[in-house]
Amino acid sequence: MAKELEREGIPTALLCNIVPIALAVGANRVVPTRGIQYPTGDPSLPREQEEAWRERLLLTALKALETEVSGPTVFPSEERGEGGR
Amino acid sequence: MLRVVHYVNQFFAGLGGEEKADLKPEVRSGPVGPGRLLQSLLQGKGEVVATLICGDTYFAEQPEEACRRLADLLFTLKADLMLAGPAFASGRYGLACGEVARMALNELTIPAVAAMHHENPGVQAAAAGAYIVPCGSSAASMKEALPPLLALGIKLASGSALSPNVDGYLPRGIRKNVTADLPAAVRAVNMVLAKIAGRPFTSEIPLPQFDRVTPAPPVPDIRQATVALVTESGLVPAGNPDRIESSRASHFARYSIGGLRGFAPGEFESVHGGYSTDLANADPNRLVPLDVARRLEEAGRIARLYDYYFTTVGNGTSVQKAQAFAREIASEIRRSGVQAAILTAT
Amino acid sequence: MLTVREHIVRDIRIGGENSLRDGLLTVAAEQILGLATHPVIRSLELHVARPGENVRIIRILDAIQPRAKGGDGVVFPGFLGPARVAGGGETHILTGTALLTVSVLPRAQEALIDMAGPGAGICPLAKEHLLILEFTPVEGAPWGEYEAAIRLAALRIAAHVGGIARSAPPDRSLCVPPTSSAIGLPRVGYIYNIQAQGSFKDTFVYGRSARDILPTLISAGELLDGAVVSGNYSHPSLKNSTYAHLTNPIIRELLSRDGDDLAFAGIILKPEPVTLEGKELAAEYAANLASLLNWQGTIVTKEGGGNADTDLFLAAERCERRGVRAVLLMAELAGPDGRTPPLLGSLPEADALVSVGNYEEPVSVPSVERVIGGDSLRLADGPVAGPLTIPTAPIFGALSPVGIGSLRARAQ
Repeated sequence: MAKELEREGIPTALLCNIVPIALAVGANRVVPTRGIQYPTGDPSLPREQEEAWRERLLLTALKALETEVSGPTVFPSEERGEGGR
Repeated sequence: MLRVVHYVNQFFAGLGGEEKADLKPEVRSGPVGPGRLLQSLLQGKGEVVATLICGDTYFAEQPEEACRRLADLLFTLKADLMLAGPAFASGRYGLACGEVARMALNELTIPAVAAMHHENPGVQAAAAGAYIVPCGSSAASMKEALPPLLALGIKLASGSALSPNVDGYLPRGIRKNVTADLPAAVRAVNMVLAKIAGRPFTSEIPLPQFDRVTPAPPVPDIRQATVALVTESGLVPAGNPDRIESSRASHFARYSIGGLRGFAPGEFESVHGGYSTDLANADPNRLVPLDVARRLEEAGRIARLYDYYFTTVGNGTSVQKAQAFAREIASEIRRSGVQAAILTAT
Repeated sequence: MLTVREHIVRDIRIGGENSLRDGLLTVAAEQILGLATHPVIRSLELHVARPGENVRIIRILDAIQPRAKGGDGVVFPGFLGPARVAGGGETHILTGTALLTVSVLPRAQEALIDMAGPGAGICPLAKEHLLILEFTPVEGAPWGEYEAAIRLAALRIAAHVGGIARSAPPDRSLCVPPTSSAIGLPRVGYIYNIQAQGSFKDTFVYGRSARDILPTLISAGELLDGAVVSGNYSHPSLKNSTYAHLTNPIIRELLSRDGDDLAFAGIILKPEPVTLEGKELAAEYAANLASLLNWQGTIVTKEGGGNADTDLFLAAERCERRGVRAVLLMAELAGPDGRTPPLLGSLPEADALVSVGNYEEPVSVPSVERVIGGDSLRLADGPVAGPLTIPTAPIFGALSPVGIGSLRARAQ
């Protein structure tokens, strides 16, 4: 769906967990999430920290929408390995 | 003795060229034009009992009406097999042949095969289930084009199992379960040994072909933009008022979020069948981040959130459906001045 | 070195004295029932289903091929005895037969076997003589405790029944060395993905959940002795039952060709983590092991639905990057009409795929005279003994990820 929205001229930030598949399929602005069942969440965190993570994700999504890309691009919101889960 | 009906256009029926392309469907007894060659190739296995003729322009402009008339004629003729073309590189003729073959097979359950060049736009009918045999691009190759068309037709009419690789027709994008000739373990070991040795091997499952989409230009200043929230997580108002299916969704829905500062548990739920929804239902903002998006809107990080969010279930949803949803959503939000979208996926 | 003594079972009778004579397996009911005594098990009822019989079995949880040690040691170590590394000495196995555990259990996906008709033709276990263990729980018993209790009972019974074969002359013997001694032949290994994702979707290695393990080496002998046991009740045709772990055809094929056209270079047991980060680590780690062991090629199998395809593709990617050629076995999601693109996604390195069938293709099965396991089906409308049209998915083992089934999908 993200690809089709982009095809129609609407820049779209795709928030998803399985990034390699999203890239292989050809989504252009990909924002990695922490879990399949909670794209904009992290239930392992206390409420306040989970909302802070959600905000980080959204800000990354907004940045992706403002960024020119030439093909499938990942916009991370954190260093890999963060979260200690 | 197979009762074969042959479909040709006005030109191959010998009735004229472009000036006769508006010919409505009609039937002639016995073979006409290249049908005579088909008849001789049949060698007693069957008979070209009739020829259906339709003008390419008429078919192109009135495909439903043309098919309706041709279907009636086919039915009356009690055809055991229908062969269409060969259309070579002729685009409108190929489209007609492909569509007639598809219609005969899928709607009348009459075995049907068409022939055309593999780049003829008419080959799109294969993806809809038609059997299409590739042939040369010009009528000069008629003699080479007819035998494969006939052979496949006869085999199809006999009820034998067919496969594109073996029987030489264009892939129809249909896969069926069969009993394997060798156990999977044996095939796997054979395949890995071939791969190691650099010998050719044939993978058994086609990899999806994904086209690249030119990225949409970025939003110049997101603080001035209206942003729409879209999701395939299956988030819906409690009770699923529009009955979105938990797998193979047939539609999407939009729900108002104007004035809502977040999704309250119990008021919204996920109906997605592909993952455990407990965590999401405990806080639906984990699926669509309305609470934080609203705060960002208030803080001026975006101009505004679109008044509706869009939702469907991305579990076993066909690619074509997903694309159709996205096109409808895009068309609506563009009309409403939305400049960007955030799509959450599970 | 493990010596396997195979005994072929051609019929089963319940009653009388335990014996295995000329393929007829006779089991005394009382001893078996005695092995299922547990505070949370209310009852155990025994049934037999033979190939071709007009019977349908539902609510199937697991299948186990009976076996017992010939001398010292236990099968299913970690469950039936201390968790000591298995795979040595002598093990008797019964082929042509399997135990089925049948019970109601929450979150277990409905599973079905028809012993005759179109459903039987595509079900590997429908060709076996089945001894069915139908359990019922004590009311109010916690499901986790009940599930563990019936697993333990079933494993005990499998070992008890296997023990009946000890005194019978074997039909075949097979030597299973711990490693290959073949030289000068292509080194081919096997990356064996198991789904260990929490309760009722778990796999046990030496009695412990494999949920958070790093990929690890394991030998064929250990698997034959039951070091890996299933506690997975999702996806009836896409999961690995205990029977699958015990009879894994990939391992059998590699063993049988070891020294002929390949050197069987080892087995890496690998979990399927639920997060992308976990999946990437597991794929990297397994590929690294394969490369350290100088594998030239590997077969990779999965367990579960579409999510596990990512584990397969990542394993292929990381192996190929290290020069280990990868071949993957997978089922397809080509839709009920075979028209949906069969894979959800892919990576370029996943270019050598073996199909085990389209999960969604409908199968129509006729009505049956007898049903074992319950009187209602969630799968389809209509009476449980009636004619049904169901996807291939709930037919137990039909699309076995390790290749026990006979299906593949083809372009048509």
